[in-house]
This record gives sequence, structure tokens and C-alpha cells, in this order.
Amino acid sequence: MPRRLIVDEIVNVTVNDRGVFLFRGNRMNIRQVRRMIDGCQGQIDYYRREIGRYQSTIASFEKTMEKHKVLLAELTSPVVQKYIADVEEEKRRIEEKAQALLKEVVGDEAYRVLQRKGHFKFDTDGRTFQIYRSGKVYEKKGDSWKDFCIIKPDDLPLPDYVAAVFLNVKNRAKELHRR
Amino acid sequence: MVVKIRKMYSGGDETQTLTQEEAQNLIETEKGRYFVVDAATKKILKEVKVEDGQELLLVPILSGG
Repeated sequence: MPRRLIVDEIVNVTVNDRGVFLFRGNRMNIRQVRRMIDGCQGQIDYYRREIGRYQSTIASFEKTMEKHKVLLAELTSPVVQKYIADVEEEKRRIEEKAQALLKEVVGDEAYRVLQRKGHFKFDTDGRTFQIYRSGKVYEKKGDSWKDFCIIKPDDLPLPDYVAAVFLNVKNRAKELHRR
Repeated sequence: MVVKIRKMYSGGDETQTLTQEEAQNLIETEKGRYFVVDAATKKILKEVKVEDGQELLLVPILSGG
């Protein structure tokens, strides 16, 4: 059954290159017109407030970003970078010296084994020990290896600590665990 | 008359060239914290009588845990 055209209804047909469009509209009463006006105004106010909020957030973000840019420029300055390079160079120099001392203390062969396998064995006072690159020491007890605990001082470079452990165990193993 | 003493510490090892007397004093000062090792033999020196031309190593005394 065809749809009856209501008196207060408007129907428009528009044709363009996108196709045929049908618009239907209803007559509004005054109350509805006023309500729609208020609604539009409300939406405008809302979006105006939102825009203000976002703009203030953007401004705050831009300020914070600028502070980080300034800090980054200072941290990447030649003075700071040179300091970092100097500290790293000093660390490398200390490590090299410590490795050289360790090699001198344990001997070339033991040093080579230590580099290759990570540990080497040595005997002293009829006892056999195994010392690791980490400074850990184990004593041979029968068929197994027992942890020969040594307290590590905080401040020695690791290769120096290994050299100190070797010399302490080699020369004063009995005293090390004396209570 | 000089003695070379290498001491292990946090900055690596430090080599000092000292007179016999200075070397003896240093060893006395560090007694209890360091023991003395002959750099050539790597053997601990119980009684340290510093001699001219000697090279010694001061090794931190470690303790067992």
C-alpha cells in the first residue's frame, strides 16, 4: 500500500552525480524549534570548552617538551660527553692494568687457560684448588669440589681480586678459614 | 737505592718507587691489611727486610667466609 503524504511533511528528491537522494522533513512546532536552538547552543559551548581544554594541554606539553630539549642539549654537550669518554677510558685503563697484573701473578699458561676455559687449577700445601674468572674458588675434596668461601672486598677491580685470591690461597690457605 | 712497590687498590694497582726506608715504613703501615709478596717468586714474605732493587707486591689480606 503506498505511503500517504502527510500534510506537515516535506519530501524532497535531489539528483546529483552521486545519485538520487530523498529528504523527508517534519514541521516543527515553536517549542521544538526553541529546544533545537538550545541544543545547538549547548553543543557549541561544549565544544568551545573542549577546544580550550585541549589547547591548554597542548601548551603545557609544549612547555615540558622545551624543558627536556634544553636538558638534552646540556647532557649531549661536548663537556659532558668528554667527561663520559674520560671516565670510560679510565675504566678501560684500570681493567687493562689489572689484567696485566693478573697475568703476571698467575703466569702465562694459567692466564691463557683462565681466558679460554674460565677457570684454572693449582696446588698448594698438598691441596688442589680451582679458581674462576669471577673470583670463586673451589677446593678438591675427594671426587667433588667444595666452595672455598672468600669474602670479596667491595673496591677491587675483578682481575685484581682474582689475583689477590690466588695469592691468598696459594700462600695462606690454612689461615683463610681459621676462626 | 730504590724499591718498587705495587699495591692493589680500588683504582687498580699503583706502583711506587721508594727508598728502602720509605718502603719499609709503607709495609709497616699496611701491616694487618696487606701482606707482602716478592714480585719475582710470588711467595709471601713473612719477615720483610726490604733490599735495594727489590720489587714487591702488596696484596690485600682476604678472609674466608
